[in-house]
Amino acid sequence: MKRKRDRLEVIYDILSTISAKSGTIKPTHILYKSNLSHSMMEEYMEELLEKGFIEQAEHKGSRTYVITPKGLEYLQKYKFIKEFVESFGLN
Amino acid sequence: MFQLYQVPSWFKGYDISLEILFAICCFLIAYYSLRIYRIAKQREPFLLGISFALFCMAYIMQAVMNVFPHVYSNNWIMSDMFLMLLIGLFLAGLLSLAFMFSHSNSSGLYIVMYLSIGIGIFMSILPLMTFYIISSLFILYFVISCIFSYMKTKKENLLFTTVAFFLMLVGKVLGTFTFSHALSYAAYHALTFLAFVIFIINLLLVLRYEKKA
Repeated sequence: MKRKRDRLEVIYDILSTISAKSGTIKPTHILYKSNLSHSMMEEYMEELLEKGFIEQAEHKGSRTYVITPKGLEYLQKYKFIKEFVESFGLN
Repeated sequence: MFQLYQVPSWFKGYDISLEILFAICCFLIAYYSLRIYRIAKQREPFLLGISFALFCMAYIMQAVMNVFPHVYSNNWIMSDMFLMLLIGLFLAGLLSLAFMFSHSNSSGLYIVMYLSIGIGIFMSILPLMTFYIISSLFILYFVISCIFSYMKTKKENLLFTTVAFFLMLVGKVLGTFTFSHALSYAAYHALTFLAFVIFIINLLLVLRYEKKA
């Protein structure tokens, strides 16, 4: 049985999904790929927007999310962040 | 006037060097914690960073007090002020760490706890001893939190953190005797030194991942 993901992992999965789609993605695609309920996805997207990891954009009349340089930095440094958080008991 | 601690004559100088070393270690932990916070924007690294930044300031202040004891030793007002500031810094750091481990969000609760514990310490007959006892309780909470975290995650590096906090706990408990036993002062410093060595080893192990990223 797959263990529950922590917050950092979920954020990483969402940002990876966006990055894999050339940095721009529709909300429905995140819902399919992120394995989250709609309400949880909305909560996480809110958090990612607030922290500046993603931005909202319009593409052909549809709402899309675009990963920002901060979001890309999170992806690059994810292993370091995860090790630090786990090693010092922060999670 | 508050009674401070007894320092063995053979240990004078070593205590100042160790306190400066502790301040440097705390600075490094605070620096990397706040870097993690800058990237990940998570509350826990921020609180860890703030805690260790406060400890850093406290250790610097403790070292300065030990370098210039003549400034306050004959002036009870200065002595009390220095001690209040020192304890205030350590207490703020301990409370921040406690809030981090408990995932508590309430700033109002933080302020109330800080004021009530602080007032309790300074109203007591032996404030420094009371502070050592209260900080021992805080560190005991950190040890228990780390143990529970380890049981869930089985992360080996977390064992380092647990052992480090445990050594600090023993050091603090011994610190309650510095009022009457000078050797306790040296033992407290030695154990705290070991704890920080372990923290820094842990940090170095984590920093490998930054280079790989």
